[in-house]
Amino acid sequence: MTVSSSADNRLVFNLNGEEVIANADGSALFDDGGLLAFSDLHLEKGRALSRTTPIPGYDTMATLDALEAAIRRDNPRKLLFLGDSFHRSHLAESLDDDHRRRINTLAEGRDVIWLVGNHDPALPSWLPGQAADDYLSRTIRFRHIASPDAMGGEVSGHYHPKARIKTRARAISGRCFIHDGRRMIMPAFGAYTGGLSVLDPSIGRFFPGKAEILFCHACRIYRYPYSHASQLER
Amino acid sequence: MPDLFHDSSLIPASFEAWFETRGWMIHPHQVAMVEADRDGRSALLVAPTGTGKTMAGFLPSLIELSAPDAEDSLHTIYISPLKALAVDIERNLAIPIREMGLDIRAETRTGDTPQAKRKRQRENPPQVLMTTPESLEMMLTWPDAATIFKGVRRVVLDELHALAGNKRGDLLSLSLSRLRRLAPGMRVVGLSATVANPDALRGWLNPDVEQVAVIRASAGIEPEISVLTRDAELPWSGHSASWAVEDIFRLIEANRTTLVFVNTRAQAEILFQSLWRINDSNLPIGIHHGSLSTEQRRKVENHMAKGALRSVVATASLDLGIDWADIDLVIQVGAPKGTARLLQRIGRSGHRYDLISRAVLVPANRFEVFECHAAIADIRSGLLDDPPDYPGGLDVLAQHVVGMAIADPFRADDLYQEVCTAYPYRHLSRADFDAVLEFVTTGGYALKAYERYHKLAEGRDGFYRIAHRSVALQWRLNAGTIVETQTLTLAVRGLGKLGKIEEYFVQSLVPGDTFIFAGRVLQFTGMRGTMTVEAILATGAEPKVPAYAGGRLPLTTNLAERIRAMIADREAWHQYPEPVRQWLSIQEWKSSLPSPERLLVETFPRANKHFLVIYGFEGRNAHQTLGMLLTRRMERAGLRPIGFVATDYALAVWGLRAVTSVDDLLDPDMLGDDLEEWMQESTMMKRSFRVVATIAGLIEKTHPGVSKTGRQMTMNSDLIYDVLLRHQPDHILIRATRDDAARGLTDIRRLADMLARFQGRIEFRPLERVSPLAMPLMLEVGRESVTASAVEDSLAELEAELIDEALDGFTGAPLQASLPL
Repeated sequence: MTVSSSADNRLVFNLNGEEVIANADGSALFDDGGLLAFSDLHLEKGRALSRTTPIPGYDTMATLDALEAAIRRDNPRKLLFLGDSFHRSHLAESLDDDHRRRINTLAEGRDVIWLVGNHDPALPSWLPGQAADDYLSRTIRFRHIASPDAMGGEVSGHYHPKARIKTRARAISGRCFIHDGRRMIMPAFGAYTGGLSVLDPSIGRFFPGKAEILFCHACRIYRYPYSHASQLER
Repeated sequence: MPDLFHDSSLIPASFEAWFETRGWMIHPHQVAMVEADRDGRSALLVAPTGTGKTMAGFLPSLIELSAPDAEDSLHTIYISPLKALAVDIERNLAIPIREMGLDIRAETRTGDTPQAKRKRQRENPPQVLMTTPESLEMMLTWPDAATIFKGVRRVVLDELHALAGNKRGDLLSLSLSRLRRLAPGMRVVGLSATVANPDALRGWLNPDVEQVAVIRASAGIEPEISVLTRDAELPWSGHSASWAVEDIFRLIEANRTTLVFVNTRAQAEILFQSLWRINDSNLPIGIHHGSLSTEQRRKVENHMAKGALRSVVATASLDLGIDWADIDLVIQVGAPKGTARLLQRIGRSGHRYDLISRAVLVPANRFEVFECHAAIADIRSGLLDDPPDYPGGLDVLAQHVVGMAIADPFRADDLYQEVCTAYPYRHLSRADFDAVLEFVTTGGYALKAYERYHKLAEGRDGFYRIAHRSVALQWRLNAGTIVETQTLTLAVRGLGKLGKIEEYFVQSLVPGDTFIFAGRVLQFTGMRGTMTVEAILATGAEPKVPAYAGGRLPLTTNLAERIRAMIADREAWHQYPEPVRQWLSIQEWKSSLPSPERLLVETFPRANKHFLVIYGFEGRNAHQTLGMLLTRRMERAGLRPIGFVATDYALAVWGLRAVTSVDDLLDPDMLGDDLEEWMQESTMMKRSFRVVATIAGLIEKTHPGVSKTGRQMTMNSDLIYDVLLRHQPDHILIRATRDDAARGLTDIRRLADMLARFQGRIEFRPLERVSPLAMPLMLEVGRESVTASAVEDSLAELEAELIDEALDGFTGAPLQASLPL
């Protein structure tokens, strides 16, 4: 196995015996590069939050831009979305034509699996691909919310993990992956999503032992021991 | 001054008599105003405070309205930059009206006017209306505006220099362009205490400048200004002037009433605290600044007016002409940063035509000694700063265009012509106007799909109308050009609500932290809901001083030039205190003195880093920008810059490699691509965009019943900014943002002028160690800005440091896989 060089835009690590590549954009490649996974897109969150203030699908546009870039770069056979792909089920149903067209184009020639999340229990009828509660690929089970009973080989989303790292220059906050070699929680991919500190007990309870965070900042990804994360500023 | 020569037919006898009973003489400039008006001309009156300026502005109107056949309709509109000033003027105007027994209705209308009174004013407008730019624009959108305003004879713009040269001024100029159409015979009178070049303001009053008379009052008696000095040690840097607190207190003791002006709220708080610490005789000393609640401020103002206070420590919130009882002395703490501002402040003392204004300037550090002396020299030579002349903002225009459609359907050609009579928009191109019109009609390319941006619709008759009625309601809720940063209410146990505090400051507090507010040391205890900050009075704690961003005043060009010349002029050194003279001598010996002819640049190593100091004297904003651009360029040259610090006088950059030649680094071409790149990346642009988008009506300030936090608004606008920049970089809002950034925070033109002026004339001094002149900068280094690549470097560095620990347990033999259950 290779340890990638520092200040790179992707990192390779081992999860439950599988080689996984974490991208600086918050997506991750499994299955020898054949499966590209994204979590918590929260498409149309802007529209959902702004019944009075119009912020026209700009977050959706930005997220789709990033999604297209990632897929163009990694060209996977399978796309897997770990749930909360849409911020509200009913908004997904009425997604702008242009946005729908873009999602359909992304799916062309690929298997697409959409796990349901707490935000999008009902996926829109026009969506290409198949919906599922969870998904198994080799030794890894993907689900929206981590299960306290899982033994290992689990990849989930839902919590939008973020970390704050103190460096010589200053402290920097950003989204991150967190994993302990057995299970991993992926960061939110959406353009307009907040985050939860990896030190929060609702994330921490899954990682009682040694763990590492893969920290995304400005197109690069860095690895730090979990113990090095500090509390997010309010 | 006797006014025996004026044409007595101009001033009615009843007015002459009234002036006499007051013991006043009618000033020549007051007569001249009446004369200009008789000739049908607009007029700009330049007169110091306390010379009957406001009376001069109203005199022609009062005379006309005192005629028995005067019509009972809106006749004169008075506009002031401050609500408080409008109220004050109403009170002052009531005196002559009452004492001369005139039958004139004069009233104010501002955002604070009760609903019932507003309704009455709309049905039956007063003859003289005192209002603010925002209220005027609002009234111009009434469907019956044409009827209400058609009889207006005169508009009086008070403190015109404060209204011009900013977005509020842009809006006001647009309102005037509409008024001019509704009331073609109207004259506009501008009043200004301080202006060097009246021509720039004349165009404001009438597009045909020749029609505008310029009337100057004689300057009165020259003010008596001194610089507080002591031969004891003067601080190298800092802004609190704590060295002078005792002297300031002695001055307060020795005078009946003293106004103490400072530049920032934080300074006000600190100075107020320090004064009370030594105030054993319990002199009544108050504080006044913009973060205090309105009640608190009114209380202080009332006490002051009653003469119950000996002194008030105040920021710009007190700057503009509010007429108080006699002030004996004005103290300016910290350099005034601009001559006009200083003169305005000094004008508060001896506030009568025949009394001498007295002022003492208190420099807070060594550099400010020069600045104080330079400002005094400027005042003596009568050289004042002008309000900046920029093209009017496109965001403000977008707001106005929608407002005008609410008033009345319009044709594009007509409105374009009308708008071009507004001074800041005199060079507006038709293409820009059309782009703004398209933005409010279809939302422009990027927003076409969203119906709520279709605010106006063009009818088949070629007239533009509002697309639906809700546009008017939305417009009224969001009108104006002042976009507040999110503020939270501060409530203190036992004291109630103390005022407003900025969110960014609260974000940096954790419960238990202490800070100074309203002159008290408070302890933060937590939040109540999302909008209220709770605190208790702290006991005996050292406060965490309020961090103050913004509000730092940039040095004006005139002052900067003068300071550079003063330092170079050995002959003049004798007027500075001993520590300053010594400091300059050692600088000359160890390095060199900055001069107007050459740009001094020093390098020296310190604490394993290499410093580069550029003495630009162009103000903090320009130096800040230079710092941003220079570090980018140094990065590319492999000089590994780490950070920089900018002051009004100089810029210091430090890095890991020594700079050996500076000519290329300081080449003016850095203002090309480097600048463009930096502007797009910086958060400053995003902040400007938020303001622009709010003014232009893209995002909303307020919604009925819903409060959105400032942070939420920031996130939304950031996103829109990114997308617009990518998909439509020539969008009018992006352009307006870029203009704002260039006009406001970055002072790019100044920087460009400086780099061009000194090209090939750089005096480069590589030194072994820090020079005396660089010392003040070294003390500011704690607050460095860190470059983006330094952040990346430090992240990677930390990763390398921790890599073994990080990899421990994750490398080596693959883990035994678990069952993925």
